[in-house]
Amino acid sequence: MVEVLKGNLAQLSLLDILRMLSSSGRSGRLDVRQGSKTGEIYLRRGNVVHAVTGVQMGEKGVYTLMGWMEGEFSFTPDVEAPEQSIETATEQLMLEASRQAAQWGDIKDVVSSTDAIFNISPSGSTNTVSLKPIEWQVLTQINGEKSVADIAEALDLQEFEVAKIVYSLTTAGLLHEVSDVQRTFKEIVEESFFEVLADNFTEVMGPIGPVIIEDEIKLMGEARDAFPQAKAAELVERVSLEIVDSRKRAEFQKKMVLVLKGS
Amino acid sequence: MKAGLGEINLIPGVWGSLLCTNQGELIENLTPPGLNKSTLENISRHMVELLSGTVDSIPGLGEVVLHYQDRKVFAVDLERAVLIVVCTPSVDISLLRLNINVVLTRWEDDPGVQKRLRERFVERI
Repeated sequence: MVEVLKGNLAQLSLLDILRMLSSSGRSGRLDVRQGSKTGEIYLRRGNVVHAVTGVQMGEKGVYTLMGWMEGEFSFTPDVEAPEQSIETATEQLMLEASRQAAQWGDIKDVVSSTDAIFNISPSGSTNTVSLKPIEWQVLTQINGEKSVADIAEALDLQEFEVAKIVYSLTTAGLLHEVSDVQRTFKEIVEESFFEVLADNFTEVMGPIGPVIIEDEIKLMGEARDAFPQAKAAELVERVSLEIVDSRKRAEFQKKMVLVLKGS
Repeated sequence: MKAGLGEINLIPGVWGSLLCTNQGELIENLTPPGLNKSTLENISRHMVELLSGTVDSIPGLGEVVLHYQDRKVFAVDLERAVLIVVCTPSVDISLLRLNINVVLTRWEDDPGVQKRLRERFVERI
């Protein structure tokens, strides 16, 4: 088997490649790769008969792959499709793909890629917003960690569909994109947090309080000067368990919850 | 009671919370629209059954956290009722537990809450 066609999706879109292969009546497998994600589209005498990427197959798979704006592709001729998951006429498939490609142009201004991650906007929308059931489903998946592609996979939807919904929810003011900085920056607890923690804990436990805090930090495998913000509540919870009197414990927790919420 | 649930719901990653009797009947509910009463009571009954069984076999255990792909369900045994909190997987469980404890301690001193819990109290089977 010889690869006859190989290239970059940034230079030649998947839609253009498929148009070319289809119009020349080619048979074979088109492999697509974007980072760690891969996909395959099979053609038989110019007709798209099967596609698969991740858990998505058939038409859904084709439309998801069409949304990949970057990555590599290679076409291997005369490879038989393992099955037929697409019955729709290829012309119709291309037409829908063209329509989606045109919409991607607008969507990309807000949803940079299907790897983009969104979170609920704290300010929300100033207007009344009504949501369709599918929009509500997507909204419940938004958590500042899942990408558009992850949500599509979880809900078994096309990435394009999810991107379109995320686009409309973002323009309605309900969501915002989580920046790379927010995603990769591991927040460290400020020294003032430890001072407040030690003060409040010492008030209940006496002079042994700071010693217990230091011990718990070590038991958590962390260092005071690089203590992650994500573990601050766990530290408070752990030290509070040392307070035997449940009332005093609750009072300490109440004070520290206010500190944690403010941090 | 609703204010307490509202306070819990303010924790990032909490989707909704509810309080149910030892039979799974709703006492108070603060969840987003979309789930009707019977669905919520179905969830409550399952959680109560699970909690009762687990607490019986592991004495001293007062809470259960169920991990699903898209949700975490946190159930706390209040003896006279069960508090159920539905969260996203990213929720800070420690912060949630601290907040719940603060709310529960306040409820202990709230005659109105105690009266409602007494009125709805049923023995577990």
